[in-house]
Amino acid sequence: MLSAGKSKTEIPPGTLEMLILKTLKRFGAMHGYGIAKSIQQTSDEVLRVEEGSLYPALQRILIKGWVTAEWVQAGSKRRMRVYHLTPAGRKQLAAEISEYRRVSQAIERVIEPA
Amino acid sequence: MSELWRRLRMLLSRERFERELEEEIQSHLEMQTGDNQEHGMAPEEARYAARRQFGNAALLKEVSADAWGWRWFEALAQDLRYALRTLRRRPGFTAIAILSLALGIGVNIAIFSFINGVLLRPLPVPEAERMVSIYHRSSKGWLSSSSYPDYTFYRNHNDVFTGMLAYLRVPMLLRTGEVDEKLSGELVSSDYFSLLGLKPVAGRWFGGERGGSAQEQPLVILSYDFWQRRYGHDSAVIGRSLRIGAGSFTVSGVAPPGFHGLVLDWGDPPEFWVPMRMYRQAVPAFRDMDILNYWGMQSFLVAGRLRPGVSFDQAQAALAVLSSRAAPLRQSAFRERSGFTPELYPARRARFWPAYRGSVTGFLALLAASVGLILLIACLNLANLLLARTSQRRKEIAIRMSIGSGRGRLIRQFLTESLVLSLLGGAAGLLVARWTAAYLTSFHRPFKISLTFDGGMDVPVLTFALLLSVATGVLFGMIPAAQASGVNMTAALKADSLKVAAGLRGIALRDALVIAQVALSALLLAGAGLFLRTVENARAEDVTLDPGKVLVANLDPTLSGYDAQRRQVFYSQLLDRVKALPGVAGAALIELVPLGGFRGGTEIIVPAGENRGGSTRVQVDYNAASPGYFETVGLPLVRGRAFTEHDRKGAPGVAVINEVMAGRFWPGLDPSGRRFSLTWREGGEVEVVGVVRDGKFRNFRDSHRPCFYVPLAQHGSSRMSLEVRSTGDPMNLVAAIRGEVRALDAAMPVTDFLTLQSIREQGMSQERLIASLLTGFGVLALVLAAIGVYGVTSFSVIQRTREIGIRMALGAKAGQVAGTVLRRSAALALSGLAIGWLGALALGRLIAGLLYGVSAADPAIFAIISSVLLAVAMLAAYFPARRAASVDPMTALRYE
Repeated sequence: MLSAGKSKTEIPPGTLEMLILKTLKRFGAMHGYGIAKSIQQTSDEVLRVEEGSLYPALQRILIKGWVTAEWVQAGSKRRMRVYHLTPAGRKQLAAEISEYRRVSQAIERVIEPA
Repeated sequence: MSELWRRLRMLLSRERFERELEEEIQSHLEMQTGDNQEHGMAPEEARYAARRQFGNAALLKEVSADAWGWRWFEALAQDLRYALRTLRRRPGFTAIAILSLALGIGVNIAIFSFINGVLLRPLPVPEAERMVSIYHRSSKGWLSSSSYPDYTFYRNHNDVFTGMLAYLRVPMLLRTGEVDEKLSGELVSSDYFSLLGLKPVAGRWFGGERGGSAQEQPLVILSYDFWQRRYGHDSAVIGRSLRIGAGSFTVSGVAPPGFHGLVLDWGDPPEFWVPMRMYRQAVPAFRDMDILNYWGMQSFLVAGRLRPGVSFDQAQAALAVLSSRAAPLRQSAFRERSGFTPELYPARRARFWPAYRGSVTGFLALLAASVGLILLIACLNLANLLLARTSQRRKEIAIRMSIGSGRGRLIRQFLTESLVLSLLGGAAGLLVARWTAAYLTSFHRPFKISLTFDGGMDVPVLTFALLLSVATGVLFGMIPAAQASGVNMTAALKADSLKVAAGLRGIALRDALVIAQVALSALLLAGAGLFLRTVENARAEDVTLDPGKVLVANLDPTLSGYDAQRRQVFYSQLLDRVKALPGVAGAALIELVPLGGFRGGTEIIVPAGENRGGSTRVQVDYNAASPGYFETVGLPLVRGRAFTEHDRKGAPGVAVINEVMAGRFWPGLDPSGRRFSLTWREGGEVEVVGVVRDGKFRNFRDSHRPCFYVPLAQHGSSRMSLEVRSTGDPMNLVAAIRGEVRALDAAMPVTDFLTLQSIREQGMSQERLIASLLTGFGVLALVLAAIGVYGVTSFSVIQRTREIGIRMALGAKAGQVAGTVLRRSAALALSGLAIGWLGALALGRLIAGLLYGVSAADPAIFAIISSVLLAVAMLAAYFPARRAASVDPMTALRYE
């Protein structure tokens, strides 16, 4: 997929779920478009969320029970699906973050010039 | 809310899922478009950019749906819908397919239900694997059960069992106030039920073995079936009293449903159980016997429950030691025998007499093999039909492949179709199985020994049915599926399908299938022929005259408490009364009915001087008969005289012998007036007064043994069979004979009314069962093979229409064309026949023990079956051949 403007990085596989959960924790309930946009903005436009990955990822964490979804009325005609973090999702997020830290610190140690 | 539950909900509201995802995508796009416009794009451009950035929405939807893990299910549902539509479009094919599968699978389910009932089903008691059955093997190699003193000795001295039980299954008389009923009952040691670990559904068991006097009480436990049938589940029956034999027994409890004793043979399943020590009251025939202390009566079945931690082998070793300690005690009963070694079996493997295990499993294996062949033939036939269809559907398949159906997906589609067929066939097969099982159980004692078992549909049988259906579907579906997926796309899409390589390969494969079908039919028909001959030869062993006219009924006055003297009076009065009935040509009593399954063996002493050699003590057969017996059954007297009314008690002892006995002891002499001694009677010397024709006693496979008859009046037989020769239909006499018995003793049961012919037929029911099964299956296989020959021949005629047209245009005559077609089919049939016969010769050796007077290489059977098979094959090929001969060259050349 082409991305306009400055160079943007694909999100490494497996971390997208963590980013979604973190975003929901930081900003509260949000719809898919908002999640994508806020990941992009928070990362200073470095991380670009593909829609083709975002929605399947949302389905996967719905199955796991880490988020719940509800429809809210937006304007007269439009509805939006809004995702909430569940307690299970909070726990999962903490686990994923600490795992991520452990791995990235390990990588850091390996590539650090001695 | 669990994950599985969420997944299921998604599956059930699939449409909503798609709608919502679509709506979400739309709102995403609108928001993006809005943002784009804010950044200064024109509305059209903004919408376009949003869409472009979003990418492939269809793929996204699919991947999102995949996340829920139901994709396989949707593909399956789609395959199923497609398969059902295809099958519905061809109702004729579908009906034939389901019918032949139902037959093929059904008979297999039926036979499996037999195997399950006889060999597989576990004992219905807790921790059945700890139960061990104890038998004895004599030094001569005979297997026997145990005597009651054996049991008490083992029980009191062993340290390997937590407990031991003994039982004896005997017919008992239930006295109801009207006509008494002869029912199967069991005398059991008093801790029988508690040791088995069963719980009564009502009331309680007998007191424990060490509970002192409890076992002396006249108590009875009812079987669940008996309780249900007689008392309709009424618990009020507990405490009521039942008159059994000569005693009165209080109902103590009811056994759990499904418990019918430990063994399947030894007569009917027990209707009730009474404590062993009450035997004198329950079974008057035992009144004067000390069966609990007699080492010689090895009729009790004994089982034990292994102590925790004790292995089967340890128990075997421990009992061997105990048995040798008991040897001196046994000496009292056995003069010369050296000894018995205990032989233990896991109770599950001793559901019937262990020595018969080989013959029972052999019979079941033969049945299983025959029904397996039937299913194989049905599979071949279906594979053939499906192959024919595949060649018709080649274009459809090629289209599907060219629009991107994977080969695997196509094979799956084909397998789905065949699995739908085989599962439907399997479901219908359950009905066929019920009928088959009912038909098979209508044969009397097909296992040679009497086995009563429930061949019903339980979980293992239904599981077997399901697995068999699936395996069948895969088996007959694999061939066309492989064939179809090999279709050459470009060739098949061209209209000229005649040259398609796959089509020709299909023909070769179909030829092979037809040859296999013919071979298997030949095999089954050969088997049918062998067993039909066996039955015919067996019938020829019956020397009685017109046995269909002789009615037989069983009487056992001893059960009703008659002593020897009362019995004699009863018998002679009954004979007088029955002979006076209208329609009776003759009546007599006999102890053992010819070909009735039993023979009486005894030792006689032929003194020196009466014989060419010295005094000899030999084992021969004997029987007891009333005057008029030989005339009644039509056994010709060869010499001397038959018994008369003068051969009564007190008169000189007489005997009538058969020809073999005459030839054995007095070869070339007139045996009349010669004497021999009976060992069972004091001073039991008898004089030979006549010689009758030889006959087989126990069954048709017996050799002609030396045998003698003694007059009933000079012999105290207890159980006798009444034989009545009728001038009309013997069954019409049943009511009148019952009436005469009732007139003498209102309560005396008279049982098992059958003609002599039916008894003979029952004696060979295993052979008759196999013969009729194989005949039925053989004919079925023949029909299927004929369909196969017809199908493959007409298909090849259609494919070769143009070639035939060219030949005819070049001057070939119609007859020559038809001849070519017929020759091809004859070649198929002959190849199949040859293979089938080789198989029959090979298998014939395996079943030689079941045959009688015929061998697998029988030329007559070979000739008949070969001509029948060839004729049928030619008939099946005749119609396509005629069609080939009537091809119009002009039309054929224009064809396509």
